[in-house]
Amino acid sequence: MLRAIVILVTSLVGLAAAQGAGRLALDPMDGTVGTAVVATATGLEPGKDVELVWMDADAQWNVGDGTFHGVTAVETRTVLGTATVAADGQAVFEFTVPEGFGYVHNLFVEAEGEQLARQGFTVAPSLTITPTSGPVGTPITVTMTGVGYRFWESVWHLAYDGAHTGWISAITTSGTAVITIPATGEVGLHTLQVISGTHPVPYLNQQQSPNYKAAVPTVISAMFEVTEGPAVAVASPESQVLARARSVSSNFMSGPSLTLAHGSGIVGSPIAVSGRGFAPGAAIELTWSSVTGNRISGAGWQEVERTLAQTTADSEGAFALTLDTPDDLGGAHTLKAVSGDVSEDVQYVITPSVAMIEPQVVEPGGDITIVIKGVGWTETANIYTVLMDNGYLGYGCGFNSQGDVTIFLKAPGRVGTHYIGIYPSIYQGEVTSPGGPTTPDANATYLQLPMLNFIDHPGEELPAFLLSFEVRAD
Amino acid sequence: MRKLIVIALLAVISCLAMPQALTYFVKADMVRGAQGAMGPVCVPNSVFFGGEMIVFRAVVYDAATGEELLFDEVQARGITATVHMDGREPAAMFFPPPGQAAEGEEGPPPGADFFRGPWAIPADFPTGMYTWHIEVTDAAGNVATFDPIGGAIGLNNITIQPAN
Repeated sequence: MLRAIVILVTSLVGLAAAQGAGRLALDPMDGTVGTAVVATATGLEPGKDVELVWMDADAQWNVGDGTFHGVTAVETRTVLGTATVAADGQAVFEFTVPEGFGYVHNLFVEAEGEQLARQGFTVAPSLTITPTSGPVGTPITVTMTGVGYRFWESVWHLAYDGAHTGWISAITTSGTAVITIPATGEVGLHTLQVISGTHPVPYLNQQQSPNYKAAVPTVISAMFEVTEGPAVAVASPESQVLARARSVSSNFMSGPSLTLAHGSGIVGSPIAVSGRGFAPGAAIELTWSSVTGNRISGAGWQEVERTLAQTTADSEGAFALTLDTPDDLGGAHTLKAVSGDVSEDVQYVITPSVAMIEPQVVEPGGDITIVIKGVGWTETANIYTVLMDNGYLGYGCGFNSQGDVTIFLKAPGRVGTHYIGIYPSIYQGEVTSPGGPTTPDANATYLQLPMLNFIDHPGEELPAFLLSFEVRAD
Repeated sequence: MRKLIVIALLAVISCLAMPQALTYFVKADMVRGAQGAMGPVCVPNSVFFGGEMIVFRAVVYDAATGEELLFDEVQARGITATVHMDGREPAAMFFPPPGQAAEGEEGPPPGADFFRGPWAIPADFPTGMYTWHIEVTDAAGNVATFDPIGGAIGLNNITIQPAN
C-alpha cells in the first residue's frame, strides 16, 4: 500500500512539473526538410521578447592514425525566429524545417537564455530521384534528406529492384546525401527503395523495433523507367580519379629542399621531382617509404624504405628528374632525398585508380577482370566494394597486395550493357556513436558496406568509380 | 615562524586538492513500465510515448568494497536516490523492502532489490529528447552520480514521442 502511494506521488510530481508555465504546440509535429511549421507558444509573460531555438548537431567521423573510431557530435543551436509575447500570453512563429539531420529535434522557446517552453519535432527522411526515366546507364541522382547522425539513425540502405546497393550516409554532409547510380536492368519500371538499419543489411521491420519513431517511414521509394535507346557510356577511368594535389616542398626557405610538382597522384602518374641546396656534384639517393603486411596473418605490418632512384646534383647543387608514381598502397608515402648528412623529405599521396574492365565484350557467364590500383591500408581505406548492376557483390582488399586489387568475376547471363560500381567503405574499427550501444557487435555495424555518398567517407578522400562492359550472345 | 606558516598553508592546499574518495558507485538504467505500455514491459528502453511509464532503476554499491547495498544497508546509511531529468522537477526514487509481493499486489520479485523511480509520462508532455541522471546521497552527506553515456551533450538519452 505504502509502495503504491509512493508510486502515485512520484508520478504526480512528474505530472505537476510537466505542466510548466509555457507550452509549445507545433503544427505539424513532424515533416521532411522544407516543411512549413507553425509554432504556437502559450502561457508566456506578455510583452516579453522570446526566440524559437532549433537544436541540431555538428557530427564528424572520429578517425585516428589509420584507425576508425565511429562518430562524434556536438549539439548546435539555431534561432529560427523571434517574437514579442502578445497580451494573451501567446507567441506565434512560422518556420521552414531547415536542412540538417533527421529524426527528433528539440525546439525551445527562450528568453534571455531561460527555457520557457519546449516541444519535439521529428524530421522525417525523404527520397527523391532525377531524372525518372532514360535508357540503361542513365545517371540517376538520388537525394536523401533527413538522414540521422545518431547510431541507429545513421544508416539507410538503398535497394535497386530488391538488390542491396549500399549505404546512404550523411554524417559530414549534415543529413543530406546526394548520390549517382546508373539505371540498370531491362526496359521498364524499376523500384529504388531506402530502408534504415545500422546493420550489414536493412532492418526490415523497423515498426517493431524498440527505437521506432512513428513519424519516420520504414521504407521510402521512387520509380525509374528504363527506356529504349543506346546505353549511356560511362566516363573514362582516367577522368574519374581525384584531382592531383598542389606542389609540395620540404623547405621554402634557403638551404636544401626537395620539391614535388604534385602532392598526390595515381599509380603510374609522373612526379616531377626537383631539389636544391645540395653539394655540387653530390650523389643523391631518392628513397620511398611504404607499409607492408596485412591484418589477417597475425604477423602485422611494418614500414619499409627502398631506393626509388639515384641522381647527381649539378654544379649549383640542384637536380631535377621525373619518376613514375610507384605501384604501391594508397595513402601517404615519404619521398626522401639523401646525400651524405643532408636529408630532405616530403609526403606524397597515392590516390586510387581503375582500369577498363577486361574484356569489354564478353559472352554470357564469361570471365571479366576488374583492376583497382592505389588501394590503401588504413581501416578506412584498405578495401573497395564492388556493385554489379546496382547489387552489392563484395569487397576487395589491397593491403596484402600493395594496393593492387584484381577481381575475377563472371559476366551476367543477360545480353546488354552492365555496370560495375566501385565504392570506398570502412573496413573495421570502433562503431561507437552518439546514442549507440556501448558494445556494438556484428549485428550493430555499418562496416564493409559500399558508401554510396562517398564524399562522406571518413579519413582519406577517396573516389568512387563506374565502369561498364557488354554481354553479347555470340 | 614564516616557514611554518608556509608549510601549514601548503599542507592545507594539498589536502584541498586531493581527490575525494568515491563512496558509492551507482549503476542505473530505465525500462518501460506496465502503465500505458505500448511495447514489452520491464525491458530496457529509451524511446517512450506520452502516456507510457518510464521506470528508472538504480543499484548502489559501496565503492570501497564493491558490495551491493540492499534494503537494510540502504536504510542504515540513510541512502536516497533521485532522478534528475530536464523538463521535470527532481523525483525521489524508492527502495522497496525485500520479500515476496503479496498475491495480487504489485511488487518486486525476490532478488530484484534496487531503487526504482516510476514516472507516468503525461499524454501532453512535450515530446523531444531529454537528458537524465541519478543522484545518490546518504545521511553523512556523501554524494554519487550516475550519468548515462552522452548525457553531457544531451544525446539520445530519453526520446519522448507523441501519444498515440
